[in-house]
Amino acid sequence: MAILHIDDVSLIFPHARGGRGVVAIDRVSMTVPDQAFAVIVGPSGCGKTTLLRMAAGLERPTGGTLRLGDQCITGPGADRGMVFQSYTLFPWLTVRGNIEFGLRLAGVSTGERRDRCDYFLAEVGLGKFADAYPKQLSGGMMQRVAIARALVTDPKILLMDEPFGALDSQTRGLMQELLTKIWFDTHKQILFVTHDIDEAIFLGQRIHVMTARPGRIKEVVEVGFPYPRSLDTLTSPEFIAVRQRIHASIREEVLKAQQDDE
Amino acid sequence: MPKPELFTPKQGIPGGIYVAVGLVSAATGILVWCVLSYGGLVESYFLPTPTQVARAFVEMAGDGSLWRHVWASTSVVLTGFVLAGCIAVPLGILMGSFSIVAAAVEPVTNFIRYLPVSALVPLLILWVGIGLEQKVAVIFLGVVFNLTIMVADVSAGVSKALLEVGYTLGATRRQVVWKILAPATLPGVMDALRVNMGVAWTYVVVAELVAASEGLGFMILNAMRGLFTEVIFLGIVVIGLLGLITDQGLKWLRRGLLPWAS
Repeated sequence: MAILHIDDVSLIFPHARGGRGVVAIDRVSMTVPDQAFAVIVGPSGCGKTTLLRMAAGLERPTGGTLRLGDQCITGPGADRGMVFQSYTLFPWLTVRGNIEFGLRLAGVSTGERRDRCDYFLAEVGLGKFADAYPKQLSGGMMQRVAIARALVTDPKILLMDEPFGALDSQTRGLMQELLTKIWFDTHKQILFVTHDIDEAIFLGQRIHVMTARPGRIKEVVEVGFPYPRSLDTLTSPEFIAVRQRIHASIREEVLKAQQDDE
Repeated sequence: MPKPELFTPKQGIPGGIYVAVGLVSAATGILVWCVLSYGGLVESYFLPTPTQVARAFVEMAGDGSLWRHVWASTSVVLTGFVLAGCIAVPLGILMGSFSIVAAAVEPVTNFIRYLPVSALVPLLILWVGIGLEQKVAVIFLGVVFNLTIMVADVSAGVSKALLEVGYTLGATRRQVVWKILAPATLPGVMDALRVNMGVAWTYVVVAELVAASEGLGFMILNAMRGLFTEVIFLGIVVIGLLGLITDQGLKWLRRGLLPWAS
């Protein structure tokens, strides 16, 4: 069992001339239980992406620790798959080449590589595009490949940084449904970061609402809609109630941040 | 049919008009040349007639001397260019992505690249003599600094997220450099090579300024001494054509080798 522990994590940027530093993330603690779908939602600039990048090992906190199971996170590794907001497929590799990239690094045999790649190609509905190059794919398709590429190496947790942020709203809706289906099928532990409240509620079981700078966890909202979720979820009265609550909560933060700026 | 807008900025024009304008423009140049030379408005030792240039071509192509010059220049240009590429491409890739390499190389390249290569010719004669090495060295120096800096730019432009994906898929630093950074720079490197191939050809006359006995630069300089203006013209036209051919060749090579690049 691999629980993600984020324990009293802070990030303080030192002041240029030795004055008091800027606190970007202020003593955040949270856990993502095994097989859980957790979401962090917050206003832009609250440090949610940085927190996720720390979990990936791409950034270091100035205080506190992150652990996956009993393993301290000190750098990036294949046990934590990541999907980025920007398109990050390797353009010189085909869809299959991209998905198999991590398996090749791990020295997985050709036959097994093929089988595992085929399984996830089917899971994201791109079986026919195995030999296409990224430049031939739409944005939504590229992100589906990125998800398959992150899942194929069987990481303990999937870290997702606003992966649908650059997609048009129709595609985004379909991708969200697909992700709840993938999670339902695999029960792969997910930590998903977004500023989109609807997306957060639609996807997650536990929603961590963050404050504006300095970033803290303001509240945790449990959402109990059954998976895989669909369009009906979006229109249910419970959804609207939760949405209203988080909206108010984040609005307060945005207003506070604006006042601080003035 | 609506009248095509020919004078709107950033507005394409029909392909037929594009070609026609190009032909008219080229024909005008040739027409002016014909009028000035055949009309006797300019003495033929300043401006030979097209017939004279054509006759020079037939004569020199017939006795094989033209091909000897072409081969001599082409081999000098290609050797210098390939040597420069062998240094500049790896160095540029490292320079654009490793700050420590940039810190070491930048002061030197930024100083030397503004020096006219012709100013270095006397030094080169002193150091490497007046043989083939000196000619190759001129081309090499003319290309290497500029190419390094252009490749460094390409390397710096590779998205950091692309490398980060590699780390989260389990790649080591060495693997990230070889399997991600290097291939990601390929299209940009090919473009930089193409631009600098043109630069290499522009140095051919400077390279053959001293103690040459063959080559297009030598042919032109020699013709000047005897006032064989039509041979000068022939040399210029041939250099232009060779440049055009190598440029098209590299363009074709890029399409063939990198079908995935946009």
